[in-house]
Amino acid sequence: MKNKLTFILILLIITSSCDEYLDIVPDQTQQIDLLFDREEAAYTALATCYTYLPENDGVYTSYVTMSDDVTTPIAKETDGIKIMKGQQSASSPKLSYWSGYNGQGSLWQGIRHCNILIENIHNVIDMTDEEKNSWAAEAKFLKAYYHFLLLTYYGPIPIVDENLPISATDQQVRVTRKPIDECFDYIVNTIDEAIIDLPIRVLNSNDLGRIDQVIAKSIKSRVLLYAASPLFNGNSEMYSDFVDENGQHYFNQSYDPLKWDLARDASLDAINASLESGINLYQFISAPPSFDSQNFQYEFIRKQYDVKYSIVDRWNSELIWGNSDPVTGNDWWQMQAGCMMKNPNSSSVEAAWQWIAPTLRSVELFYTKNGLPIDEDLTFDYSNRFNTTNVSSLQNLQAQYGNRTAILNLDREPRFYSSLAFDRGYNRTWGGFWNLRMRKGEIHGRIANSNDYLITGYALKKLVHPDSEGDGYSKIVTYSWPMIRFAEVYLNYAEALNESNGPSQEAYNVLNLIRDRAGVKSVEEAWGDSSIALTLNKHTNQDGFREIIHQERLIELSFEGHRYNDLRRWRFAEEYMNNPVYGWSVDQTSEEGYYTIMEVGNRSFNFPRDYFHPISINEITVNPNLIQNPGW
Amino acid sequence: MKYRISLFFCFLLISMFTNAQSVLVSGKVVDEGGVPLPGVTVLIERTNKGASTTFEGTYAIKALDKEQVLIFSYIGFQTQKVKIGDQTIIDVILQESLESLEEVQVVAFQKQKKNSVIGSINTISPSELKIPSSNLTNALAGKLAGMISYQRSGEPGQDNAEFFIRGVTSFGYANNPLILIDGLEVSTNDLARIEPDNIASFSIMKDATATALYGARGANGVILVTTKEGKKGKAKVSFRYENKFSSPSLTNDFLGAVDYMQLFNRATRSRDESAPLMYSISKIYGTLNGVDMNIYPNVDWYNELFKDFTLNRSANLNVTGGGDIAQYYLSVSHNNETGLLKVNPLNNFNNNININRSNLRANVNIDLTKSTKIAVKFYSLFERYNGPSVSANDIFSSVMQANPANFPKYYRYPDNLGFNHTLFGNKGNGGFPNPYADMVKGYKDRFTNTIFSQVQIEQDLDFITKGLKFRGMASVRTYAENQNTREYTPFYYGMAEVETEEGILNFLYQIQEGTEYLNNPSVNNYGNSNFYYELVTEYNRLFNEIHDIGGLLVFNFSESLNTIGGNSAFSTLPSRNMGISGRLAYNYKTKYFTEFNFGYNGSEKFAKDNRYGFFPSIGFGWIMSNEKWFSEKLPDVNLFKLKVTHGLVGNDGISSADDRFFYLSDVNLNNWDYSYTWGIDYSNSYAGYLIDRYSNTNVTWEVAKKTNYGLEIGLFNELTIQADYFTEHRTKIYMPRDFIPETMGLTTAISSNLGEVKSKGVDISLDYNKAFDSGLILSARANFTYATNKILVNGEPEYLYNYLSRVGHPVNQQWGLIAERLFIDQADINNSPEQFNGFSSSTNSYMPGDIKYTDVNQDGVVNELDMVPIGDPQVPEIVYGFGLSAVYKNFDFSMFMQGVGNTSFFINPQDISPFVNERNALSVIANNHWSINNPDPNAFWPRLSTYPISNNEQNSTWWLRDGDFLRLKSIEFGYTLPEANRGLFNGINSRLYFAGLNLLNFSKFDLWDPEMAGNGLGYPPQKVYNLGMQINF
Repeated sequence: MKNKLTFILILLIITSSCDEYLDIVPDQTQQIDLLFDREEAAYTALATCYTYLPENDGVYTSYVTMSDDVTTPIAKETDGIKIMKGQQSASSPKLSYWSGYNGQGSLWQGIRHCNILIENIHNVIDMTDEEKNSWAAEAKFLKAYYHFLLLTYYGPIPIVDENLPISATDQQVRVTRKPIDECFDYIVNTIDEAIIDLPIRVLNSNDLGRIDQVIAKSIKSRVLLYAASPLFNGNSEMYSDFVDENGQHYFNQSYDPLKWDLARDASLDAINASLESGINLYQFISAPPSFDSQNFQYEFIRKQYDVKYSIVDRWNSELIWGNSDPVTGNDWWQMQAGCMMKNPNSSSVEAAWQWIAPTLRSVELFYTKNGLPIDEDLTFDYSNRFNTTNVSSLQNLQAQYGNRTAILNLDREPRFYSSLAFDRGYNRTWGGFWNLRMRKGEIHGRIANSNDYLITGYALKKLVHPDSEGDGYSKIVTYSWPMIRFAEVYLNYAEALNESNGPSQEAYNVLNLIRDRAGVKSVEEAWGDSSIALTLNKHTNQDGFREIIHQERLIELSFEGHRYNDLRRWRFAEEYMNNPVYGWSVDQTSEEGYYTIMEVGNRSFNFPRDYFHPISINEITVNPNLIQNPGW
Repeated sequence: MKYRISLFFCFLLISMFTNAQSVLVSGKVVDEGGVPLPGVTVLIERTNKGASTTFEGTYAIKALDKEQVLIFSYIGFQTQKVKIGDQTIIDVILQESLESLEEVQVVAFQKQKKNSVIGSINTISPSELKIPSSNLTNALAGKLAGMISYQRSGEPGQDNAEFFIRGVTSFGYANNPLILIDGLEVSTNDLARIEPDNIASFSIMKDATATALYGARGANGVILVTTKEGKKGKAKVSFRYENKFSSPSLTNDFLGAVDYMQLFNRATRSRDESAPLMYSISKIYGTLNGVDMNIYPNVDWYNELFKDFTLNRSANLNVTGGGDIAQYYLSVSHNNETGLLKVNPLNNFNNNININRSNLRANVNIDLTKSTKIAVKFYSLFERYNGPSVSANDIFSSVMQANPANFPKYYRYPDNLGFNHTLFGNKGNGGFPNPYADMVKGYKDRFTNTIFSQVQIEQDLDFITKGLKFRGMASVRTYAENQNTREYTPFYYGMAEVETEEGILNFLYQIQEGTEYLNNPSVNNYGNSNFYYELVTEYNRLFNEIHDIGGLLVFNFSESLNTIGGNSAFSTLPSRNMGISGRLAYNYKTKYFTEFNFGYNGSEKFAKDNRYGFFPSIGFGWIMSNEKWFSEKLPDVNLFKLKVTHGLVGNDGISSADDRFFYLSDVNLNNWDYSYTWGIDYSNSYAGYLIDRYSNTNVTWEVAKKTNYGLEIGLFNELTIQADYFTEHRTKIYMPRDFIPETMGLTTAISSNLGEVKSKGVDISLDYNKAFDSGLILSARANFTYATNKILVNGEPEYLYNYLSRVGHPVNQQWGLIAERLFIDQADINNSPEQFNGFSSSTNSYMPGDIKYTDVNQDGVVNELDMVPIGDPQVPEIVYGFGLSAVYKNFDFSMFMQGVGNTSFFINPQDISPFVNERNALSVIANNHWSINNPDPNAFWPRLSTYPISNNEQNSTWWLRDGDFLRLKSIEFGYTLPEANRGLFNGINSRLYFAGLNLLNFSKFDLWDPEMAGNGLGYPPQKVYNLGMQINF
């Protein structure tokens, strides 16, 4: 009997400790509430809102290569180039802001994280209300910006102003796309709400890169400019059949000129806010490197420095919103590593990839020295531009005196020389001043049959910091990629002014600020001079001036990721992006051979399908309420 | 355990009948070795009177008259009948019964009389598991009704077969059965390494009644192995030695360099008529003439890398015996297994696989007192592995990646150019696969220890109430692994051409500087341990000869430490499980049976409210042949039994081992992939957070509702048929809800217990045994398993097209496009729907000779929305086997055929597409591909290409193959030497045998061994010739 009791006792003891036996997770595991406990912890939540900002400074994540003005060898195609070649697909969309790509999360996740911060930031104990409101405003702006990015590439989108709970039913999670006007209104209103609580201008050196009013107002100017543009404004031609399940048009069907007034006013507001915060068009005021100290007497050279450093100088005075989180760690993933030429003196060439090459189209885009398009300048031998000629002593600031190069490469504006490198031209980098020789077998030409080569015979200098060197990752000089810079706001203003009111002196003046900084004649001087301008006084009518503003914008903002969007919103995309791109014959050693134009890749644009990206088939399947973009 | 009950019974009977008037008979019962047998039942025929032998083997019984017959029966021995006659002292020698184990059946936590088992359990004799392989799992296919099994790889040490009981019945994380060796849960590897010689019984448990007691862990079925225990008597020694020749069952056939280069050039021009050719005429002719192997290599990579066969050895020695107090079973064995890899003569290390395993097993039973017994089990396995630094399976696959014409495995120069390293071949700037260099550049040295120890105490509690017993058991298993990988960096050289005044010259240049020494080893240490405790109370009693009552109550708990690996918060915490299980069994007159079982289990994985699961089951059985009317009408039917069971079983292995504690969210608050940086010099950085799992307190057990209908028939005492029909409804399968759109912005899927699968099937086994008067003993055995299932609920979106849905299809169903044929010409392409929009305008464009697919939904585009269920499931639905064995005089012979059916697989075109990245080409592609000259729209391979053609690489019926096969799994001839009965060899009994494994194969698929399915380029399953010898004394 005693045994029996002991046995039962043992059994009881063991069973009573059951629950504890199975509780094995220690306290203080990582839970989400801990994020909004203290300010220091809340930074994690804030960082997560920002982390979804697209990395346009990364080779494989950038939208810069999604264009017809640069290209790569076939072996090096980025997703951007592949899309340009017609390889976008609804099965697995490339560079998809919607579903995420190349390590970048879906922007919808970014929006969810912004909402989490907005909902919870008031729980933090050691922050003032003002700080909390300001942080919430940052998240609000980012939320609006992410919606705007989605809108730019997908057109009508669902609006996620508040997070759906995890327990949401299947029906609740099936959101619908909203008409673009509603989307634009939501974005603008949200930015306006954010502006109230944002700091006027972030100047604290620790906080550079965070959102402030100037940034918000400038982005708002871009948003309203897009809203007024032909793609989104009264686009009945392309999207009369694109309706939701109730038959409501996703795209408004009638053109509303007043939208340009909104864009104009927002741009002016952004300009004023910028100027009040000390933002201006950049001027290079430091001492030039010794090899250029002699040349600095020439405005032609000084202007090249102004233009060049307006991009690559960290936190320069023109930068309204710079990316404070550049692609680092793996520096060789930066856009500039893809563009950079290899230093022939360096044994190791790891960080210089030299395979992102400007196409002839971008070469032809830049103005002549007179500030006119090459086919509109009477002094420029346009028809023979692909022939070669001797570089005269007068042109020795542009190219190497006594050598021969293409006529196309001579007598161009300073921005041309600052942005592009060409055979028999110059490159100010690798700690010195280089005479470029880029034909096959020459010192800067294609090495053997390497896949790392400039397929067009041009190198892209604009995005490369002159002090970056191609012989080691650590020698890349990282800069803050311009998310938006002051020149764009001026260009937005000029465009909106012309569209709403037609040509005006105010619009000329704005454009001339850009042209003056770039070292070309004013609009009136260039187009009003019958000795140089083919179409005299083109700037005095609205259509002519529109062309001028467009080209100015394409030149000034070239290679910064605007071209693809601008061509689409003006509805020119099928005109530019549906034909081959060209370069020189870089595998030729002789002069005649090298200066033969060669097709270096195709561009395919399926009208009107490719105006917007496809939503992935999977997403459409999961959410049958989403209607796919036309053509996909 | 049951015999102890009957023993007790005898005592009872004796006390009841001692007062009758009678003849007194007494004697002693011993075994063949003269050892007294205690507890032997002595029964007077046709009466209820009986006695039992004492500890000394003696008995005494009173019989009514001399005509009566005494029946001596004892578990494990043949029953003997002796007529009393005039004898008053009857001494009996009982012969050991070979079929003793047939009489009791191992069931969950105890043994039952075989005829009273109503759960669905299959047991096979351990000798069935003896095949010439050092991996027990390779022997399972086709041997046990109810088991689906197949083996995908033949790499020594990595050749475990996949096995499922009654098929794959869930798409949750764990589908594999629970494996118990001597009651302790172990891994598949532990099962693989157990020596068949040491196995006492091997069973699989299939239905709810058989597995419900394992509650939480039994849903996928249970494999139960018990090891041999000692037997009283003088020491018996058994020794076995085997020599095995092992070679690949089937090898792939590749093109020689000349054919390769010609076809490569044709492939280049096939897609672009103006493309420059890779291989010049002079190179091709140079190779054809075999001028200089350095400049014109012609490499058969397979032969450069692998031997034709390898030799494996194994030896096993076991001793059993014991006295009254203690009995022992001891076994030591050693086996040596080697791979097919060649070794570089320049290295002084061995990069071939060479595995040495030694194991020791000691099972000791001690009878402490008459009512208290202790059993101690100890097992250790020491394994020493030597092998290549990279996976041998990858080396096999890399033959496909190498190029026969570009460079030799290494350049052969006199004196090796004076260098102390091998001049490994490569090309251009390097980076081309040289599998030989990968194979010989280093080696891996690993040792692993597995130690298992167990102690069990058993106490008769007859002093409390008759038939009550208690036992407690504690087991520990530990595993440790220590691995060092040593490699040097190979030096690669290339051959370049230069034009000089004397013509074209070739010179060797260095592509990559290597190391002439082995770099520092990369070390990998790992260990884990399991603890298991169980307390069992058992009660068995037969009342009035007709009411047989059995009860069982088990309390168990277990803990596993670091079984998972990894360093996340969750994976490093222990896993625990605890539960109470019970059984209540009743039978009436061994005719009508009923049984109730339950398991009540808790798992650490779930929230408090959902932590415990209750899994009951109930069963009924009827042995019709025990009815009088039946045996009178059908005397030839010695057994006819019907049974039906129904119940629930759980599964807590619903997600990967580091994905546990579903009631907690898994948030990484310090994730630098989600970081952001502010500040003038980009230094004000903060990590971001990432939600890896959203908390869900409702997550709980996966539950299987199982029903089994069984039939057992015995005919003429020769043929036994066991057939079961089963259904299973698996619910609460934990799975992601795939219908949450991106717009929710979640960083991970939300999962919950929502999946459901319904399965059904039959398993049948036939056994035939007959001894002919001529001395021929014949036995035959056949098994058949068919298990199919379909998904009832799946966390999937509402598809626009029904055929995309997995609902209604088997768990392992495959989806793909319907390939019609190859495109005939451009007009054909133009008139067909566009395939995968986007490809058409890119470099991946398809051409005549590429695969044309059906636009199933007729939306004008072929894409993933046109994928329909095609073929049979990847996991075979049918597994069967049949065999025959015969013994005649000193000769014996056996063979076993095994096959699978209802399965298909895809050839992966990405793996074998020739010329892509200058890789090798299979001869079959050279012989049968589409070309302008051979515009066969049904050619094996589409238009050749030197780069991947996405259009052709889609999963489609084009690449689908029937995976059915039937093979001669094993065959064995043996000769038993006549027993010597004098001198040194007195009592020695020995047998020589030859055995073969996988010698013949019948299948529609002949590219590689069909059992490998889609992994055809890996280490192939082996064909083995085995010479063995067994000595007993």
